[in-house]
Amino acid sequence: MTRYAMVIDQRRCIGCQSCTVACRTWNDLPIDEIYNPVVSEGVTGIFPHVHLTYKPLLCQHCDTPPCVPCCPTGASQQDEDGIVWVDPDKCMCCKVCVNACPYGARSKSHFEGFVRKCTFCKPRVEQGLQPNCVATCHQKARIFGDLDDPESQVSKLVRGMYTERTFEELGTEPQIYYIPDAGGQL
Amino acid sequence: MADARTIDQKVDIHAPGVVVRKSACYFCHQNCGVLAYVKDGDVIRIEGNPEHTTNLGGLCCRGNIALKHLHHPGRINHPLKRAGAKGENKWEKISWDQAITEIAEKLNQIKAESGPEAVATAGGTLRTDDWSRRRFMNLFGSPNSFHNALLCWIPTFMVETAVSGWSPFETELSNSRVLILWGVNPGASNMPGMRGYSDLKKNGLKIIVVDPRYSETAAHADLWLPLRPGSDTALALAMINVIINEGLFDFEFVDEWCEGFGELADHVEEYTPEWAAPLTWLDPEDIRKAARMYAMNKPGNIQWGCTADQLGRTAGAGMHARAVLRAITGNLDKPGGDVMPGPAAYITDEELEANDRLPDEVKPKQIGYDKFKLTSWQGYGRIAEISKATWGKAPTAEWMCEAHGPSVFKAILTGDPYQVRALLVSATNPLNSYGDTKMVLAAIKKVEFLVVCDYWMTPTAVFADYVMPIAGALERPTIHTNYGVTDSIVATERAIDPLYERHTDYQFWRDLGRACGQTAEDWPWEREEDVYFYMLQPLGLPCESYDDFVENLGGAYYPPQHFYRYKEKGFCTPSRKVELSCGLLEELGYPALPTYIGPVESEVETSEVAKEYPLVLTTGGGFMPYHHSEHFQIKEIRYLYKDPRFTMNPRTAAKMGIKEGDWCWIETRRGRIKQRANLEETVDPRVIYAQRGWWYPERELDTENPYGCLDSNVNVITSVDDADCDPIGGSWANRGLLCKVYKVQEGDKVTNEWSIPGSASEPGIHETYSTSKLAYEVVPKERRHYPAEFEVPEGLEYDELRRTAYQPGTGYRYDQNSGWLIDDSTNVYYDLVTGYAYDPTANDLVDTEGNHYDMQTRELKVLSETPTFDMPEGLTWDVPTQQAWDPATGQVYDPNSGWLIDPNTNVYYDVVTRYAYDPAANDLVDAEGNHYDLETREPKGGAQ
Amino acid sequence: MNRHYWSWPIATYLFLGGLGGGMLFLIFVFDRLTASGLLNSGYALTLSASGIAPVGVGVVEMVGIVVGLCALLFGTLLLIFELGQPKLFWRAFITKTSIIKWGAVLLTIALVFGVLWWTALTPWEWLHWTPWYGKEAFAVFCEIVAGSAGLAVTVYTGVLLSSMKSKPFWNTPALPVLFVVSALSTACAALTLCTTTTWTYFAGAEFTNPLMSMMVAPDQMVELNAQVLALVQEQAIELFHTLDIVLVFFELFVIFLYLLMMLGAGNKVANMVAKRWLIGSWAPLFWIGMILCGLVAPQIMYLVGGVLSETLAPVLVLASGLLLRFMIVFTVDRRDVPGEYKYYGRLPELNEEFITKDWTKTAWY
Repeated sequence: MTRYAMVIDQRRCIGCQSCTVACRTWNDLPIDEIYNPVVSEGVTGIFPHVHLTYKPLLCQHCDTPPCVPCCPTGASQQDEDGIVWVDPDKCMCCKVCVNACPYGARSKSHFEGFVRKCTFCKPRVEQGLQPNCVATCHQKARIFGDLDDPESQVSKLVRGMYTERTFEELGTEPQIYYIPDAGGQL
Repeated sequence: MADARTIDQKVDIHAPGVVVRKSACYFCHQNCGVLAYVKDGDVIRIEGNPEHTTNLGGLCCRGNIALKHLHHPGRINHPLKRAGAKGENKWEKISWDQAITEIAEKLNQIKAESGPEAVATAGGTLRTDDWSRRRFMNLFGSPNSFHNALLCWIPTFMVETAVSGWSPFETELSNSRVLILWGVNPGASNMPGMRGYSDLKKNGLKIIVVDPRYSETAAHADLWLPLRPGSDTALALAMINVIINEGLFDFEFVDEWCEGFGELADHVEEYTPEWAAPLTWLDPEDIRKAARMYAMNKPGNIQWGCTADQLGRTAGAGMHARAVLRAITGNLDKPGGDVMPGPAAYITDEELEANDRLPDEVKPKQIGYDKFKLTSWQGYGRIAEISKATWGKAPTAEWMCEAHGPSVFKAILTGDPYQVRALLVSATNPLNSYGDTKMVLAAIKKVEFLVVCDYWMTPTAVFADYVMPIAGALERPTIHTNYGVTDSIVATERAIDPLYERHTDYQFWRDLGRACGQTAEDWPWEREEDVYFYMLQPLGLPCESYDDFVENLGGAYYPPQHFYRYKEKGFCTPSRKVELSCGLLEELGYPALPTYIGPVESEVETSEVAKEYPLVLTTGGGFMPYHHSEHFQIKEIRYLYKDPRFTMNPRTAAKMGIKEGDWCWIETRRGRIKQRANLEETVDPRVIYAQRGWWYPERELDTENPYGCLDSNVNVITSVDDADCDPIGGSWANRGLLCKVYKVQEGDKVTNEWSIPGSASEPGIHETYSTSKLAYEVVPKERRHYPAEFEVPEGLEYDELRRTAYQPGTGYRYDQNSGWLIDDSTNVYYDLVTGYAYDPTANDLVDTEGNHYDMQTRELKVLSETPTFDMPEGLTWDVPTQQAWDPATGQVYDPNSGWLIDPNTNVYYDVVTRYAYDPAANDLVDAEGNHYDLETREPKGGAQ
Repeated sequence: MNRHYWSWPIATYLFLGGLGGGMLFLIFVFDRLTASGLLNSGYALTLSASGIAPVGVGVVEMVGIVVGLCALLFGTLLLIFELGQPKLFWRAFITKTSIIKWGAVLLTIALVFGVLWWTALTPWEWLHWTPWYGKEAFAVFCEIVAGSAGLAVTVYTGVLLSSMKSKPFWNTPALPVLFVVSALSTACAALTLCTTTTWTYFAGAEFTNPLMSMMVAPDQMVELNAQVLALVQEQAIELFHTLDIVLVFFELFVIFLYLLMMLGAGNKVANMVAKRWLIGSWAPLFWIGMILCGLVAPQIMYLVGGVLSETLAPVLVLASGLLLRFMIVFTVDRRDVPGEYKYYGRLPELNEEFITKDWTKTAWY
């Protein structure tokens, strides 16, 4: 079995938003659609004793995605490899999935008769390529791979490093693992 | 849905007919590798090239918008000729050839009327083949080409070259233990570099970041020094003080390889950390900590960073001090240290520039020649001379030998030192990228003839007589060589031919040169690929063409790095050592030792200014996703970064009632601009960090304020006054200026009233080139001399730089060990007394007529017509060589041993039988392999 | 994130669904109660539609069913209108799990059985051809189904929202309770209005009135004299007022409980939304619009009685029900990752010049 997942090393992320732009251009997204914003709660502390980390967001491709069972049409679906995606031919755009997603990972303001979302660059992954946000990251802060393959880098990192997941308390079992930046040290 | 394709990614890069080209990004200096998926002559998709050595597949924001850039409807696609009044924005589309012809006619006319120096050119950042502009200018005869190079590493390069013979530019960090990122933020400006730092940090590399702002990079530092903007010089001097006083310098290296250490130690005695504390706002202990971390973790290095070049009058001393830091810690040219590659082995940009074609008499006409000497012909000329003496090659003149840009604009306005009538602008937008925008705007409006080569209709291009469409990323090959001051090459090919009537800048200068009357021999290369292939020639790489190099050799050439090159020939300085006390600077009139001079404005030195302008401004730093003044047209990234933002400390903002996102004026003595407040604890409460480059290409054109270039553009408030510029390298002041900030009120307006020197209150010209003063008086001193350490024979001239005597006229080098004269080009030895050449065959001297002379007596050898010894039968006597030989075989008779010797193979032959001597069997052997006894010459028995 | 992906059609739909479902349910309850004799005969004249045959009485119910069905139908149309691809609405019936699917099914059941119920009793002769016309058992069956489905619809609108883990302000079982209470109170108010309206028309004794003719066969009209009508109306109003006083009071109680719960909850986003209602930008609308005008004022009017209690008070209750749905939908925030507010707050509007600029109209294009 294959279970795609991503590890994001916040210790390496510098908030450049290359992934944001790469995603927009590769996927020809509408101007106001952003699949992977790089957010930051800003600088913490008082100058000069400050700290800053960035958190790239994207669809978490949850193990129990709230956006799939809520879909009345079956357009919002999850593949066996864990990729959550929407079939535009089936979607009637009721936006219930958009509301259901706790991560804001679906179309935010741009609806053209269907709901869009990050698909881990499904066509690229099927061709054996990395998702474009991963490929474009200069800092190599994003690591993508098969969690079920014990030899893959993601499964090694998830096993061996302290990782956090977003809104884990919701029981969505998100599959984006963050290695937090505790204080500027690698 | 059976088809796995989702709504996105409609373009199939695996479709038949799609070709992958190994192209490059061209939006900053890194030239990251890009895979371009090309179909039917157009690029349909791009992504980072995972095999490219620079970026390993990574692409930043602007790299990713290459296709938007390529196909943007706002691009200039055809040559435009002004159809209305200047700045009216009315254009006539004309053909490339017509435009070139008309421009050339006008330039030739100006040259005939006012001399070639009345034509100046402005270049952009490393986004062009700028050697071709220099080549054009040299052939045209004008020394007035300039750049923003004076703000970007070039003065640093020149000062460091003056001090230690080359600027450490090659990065070989795998052995480094400490790294100073001084005034550089790779986290926003050099993504591949940042990746490298992050990787190395994981392996224990210590990183010191010197930056007033808690930058993306500072966030990953081991030690962050948030100094007062513009106080870098004080910090560097204090670090030297600590390193010397605490004995942390590299004693062996300093002792053996540095000049003037004692003077330096005395000189920096006063620059204690306590002295620097009020200037830098740093805790003296932090300065000590940084100095110790840097000096005690060896090898270490100081990375490339341009802040030092943007500090105005204090810049030069700071560069000098940093050069000293590198040297006294013994980090120069060692693995993991500051590696100094010297000029490249391939054809460097300097060799393509045809600098020898620029007549010497026009060089002093270069604007800035007598003021900012190190980076113009005076200083560059010396450095080129020294460099050629050491390496045989010089650093590139483009970048390193510049007219002083702001002075050129002022010359347009004042006619002093002379009227500049034409300005050719390539790949730059001076209204946004040069200091004192209001003055530059006046100059751009006034200049008689303006040609702009650009991708876009910039605020500058609006006023042009001709706007030329330039081909950019994906439309041209790129070769990343650092213009030949480093060893490596990273090359990529073009994805497609230029679209529409776009041409590359090389094509522009070549076509213009030809149209101005330059010959086909002057411009022998048809396309970029031809030049680049020519550049590769000396490397002897196994490739047939440039594209072959890219496709099949990976486009990368990394020669093995060589360290400690100074151990062969010494450092590339007149003293052959690192000149801590720098002879070249002294000779040009600058302090020989790094001598503190404060920033242009400061609360310490200009406290009366600080009363009205209590905050300290820093600007000029790169920020994602824009590069310099570019990319504001690309809505895909502008959507993410819509407005200019300045950063200020929330505590300061609270006192002024400024809230996050408020539009505020930032005002200096020279004017004001508005940006939106970004309140973050990333800067000191006394510091304002403003973004650079902003203009608004989407706006309707207002000639008084073209595309809002006076609205939010920090250069409106920076200073280019002569007194504020660094006398050494001409850098003007972007950082460490005093300012105040207040909220924008309804009805507030910008003004374009300008003045020289820059002032918001007193418009008009108050000083000109010849009346303005520099920050300090420049008094040239006599050149230091290095007399020969051997006796120079009479009649020979001693060359101090090469430490060698030469024979005048012939240029033959005197070898003091052997006493011979040597022609290095042919490696022929000549007798010092007679000048006859040595003939190794006859072991005697021979003159040009072929007469031979005795080695010892130098007397003409009498040639005997008959053999001078008993010549065996069957041989012939050769009169000129005085030898017996066998003309049939070419074997020569050796009268001493009695054998015949083949001079080619050195095989001995028996003079009677002509059998060869077999040293293995110690007998003779014939051609069939039969052996004969050495004495009896009888065939050896069947025993074998 | 203050990004409500659903806008007014959905808010209106949530209101209309609750209203229609509530009305069907209440009519079903009253009808069964009168039929079983638990309510007195005075009510019976007004309320029991199926209990008394042939048709002619149970006027309020007959009007109420039509109004309730119209509310459901209009709500459903709004729902479909809001869809990005309305032509694919049928797909809503094919999945197993989604709440919307159950909503769609319930709506359909309520609508279909509501129509059957009504047609089984309809006074319109031209509709009497249906085989089930006048079949009491069938009418009662349909009534049970439609009434239950109506209640289920009111519950479902709340459950749909409360299932969103992404919205802490919705994601609580209290929301369906609030929705059901509000739905029933608005339904009750609507029935009051139906009664008032019906009575007004009857009192005029103008049997040619189109609304009348729709409800009651003309030949039966004569049986209803003004006196009877007045009694009937009085009793009905009394019943609805009593019920609505309880429901509105309960609704006030639930709303405040709900907001207090959100204020006290650990979730910052829920806190923030509750504050937005109580002291933030929506506070005037909440305090003056919803609480004062929408609930407290009608409550007083109900207690005082008189013309206003029969006319304005139910209208205000209906308006407050609509406002409640709008506020619930429009004020909600997604649970945010720290920094998201700042990030999205800095993004431009789509009418910014750099986005809208037509470069092909530039002088150099």
